[in-house]
Amino acid sequence: MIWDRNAARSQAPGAALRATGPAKSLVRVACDAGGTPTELLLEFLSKYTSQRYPGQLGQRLPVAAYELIENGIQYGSVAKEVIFEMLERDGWVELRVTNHAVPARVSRLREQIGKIAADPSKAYAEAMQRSMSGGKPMLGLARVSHECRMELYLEEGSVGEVLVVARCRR
Amino acid sequence: MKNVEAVPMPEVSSLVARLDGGRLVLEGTMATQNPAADLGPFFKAFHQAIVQDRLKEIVVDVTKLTFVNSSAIRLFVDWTTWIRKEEASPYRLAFVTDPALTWQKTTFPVLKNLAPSVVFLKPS
Repeated sequence: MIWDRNAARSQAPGAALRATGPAKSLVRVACDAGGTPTELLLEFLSKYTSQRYPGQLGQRLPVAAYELIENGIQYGSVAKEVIFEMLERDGWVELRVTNHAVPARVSRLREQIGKIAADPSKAYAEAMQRSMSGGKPMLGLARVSHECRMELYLEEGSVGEVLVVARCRR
Repeated sequence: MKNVEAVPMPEVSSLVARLDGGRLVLEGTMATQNPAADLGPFFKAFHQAIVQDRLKEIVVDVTKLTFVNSSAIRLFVDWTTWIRKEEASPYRLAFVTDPALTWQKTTFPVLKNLAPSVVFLKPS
């Protein structure tokens, strides 16, 4: 996949923090867009991250990865694969999920990520509240930021390609 | 406890659910593709049994529930909603949690804030 960085744009606060240094790719998985993250993938990521990042980070990363992939599948096109990648760059760990989505969904996603990035704790509480009232909560993304303490941002490529990135310090 | 004890436990490979001295113990993970379909009927039946038994409190031990996806978190949210709508026989939902597990440390206090008269937290 070639990512068109010149075409990338985002209104999320975290976008200004985008890293550009050389990346070391650790994990790359293509998921069937018609499915959801499997327990097998969760098990693999839990083992891998707990060995590579002992302590709290190793516990938080699989949760974030799972929720990002699930979100990518839920909001992406059913005709395209969802690509998950974990990499290290400039002292950060990045989780990247690429999919394809229609403009209306991308717009909603961008708005949601902006709210989450502005105040993760408040966004999580509001997502739980929406869940209580039967709405679509987008709880998973709020969880990535609040529970997993990762910065979130969104980039758009060409022809409906969407990249959601979560990152934190190693 | 007659009705509560009669509720069949869910058959999900990654999750062990059992009654232990009147408390519901959940162990493992809740990460199935569709928790509402796989586990929702169990939680609903369990809630209805508690109401029929006129219990004032049910303790749910989640200290060994290591991972729950966001769809499964909604099951706990739904449970509190059912209780809040239960006018005839409301009861308290007391979670025994492990603060060392990040998802529990962040999720249950929020749930408590949303339903303070229903949810109670008991650190292990």
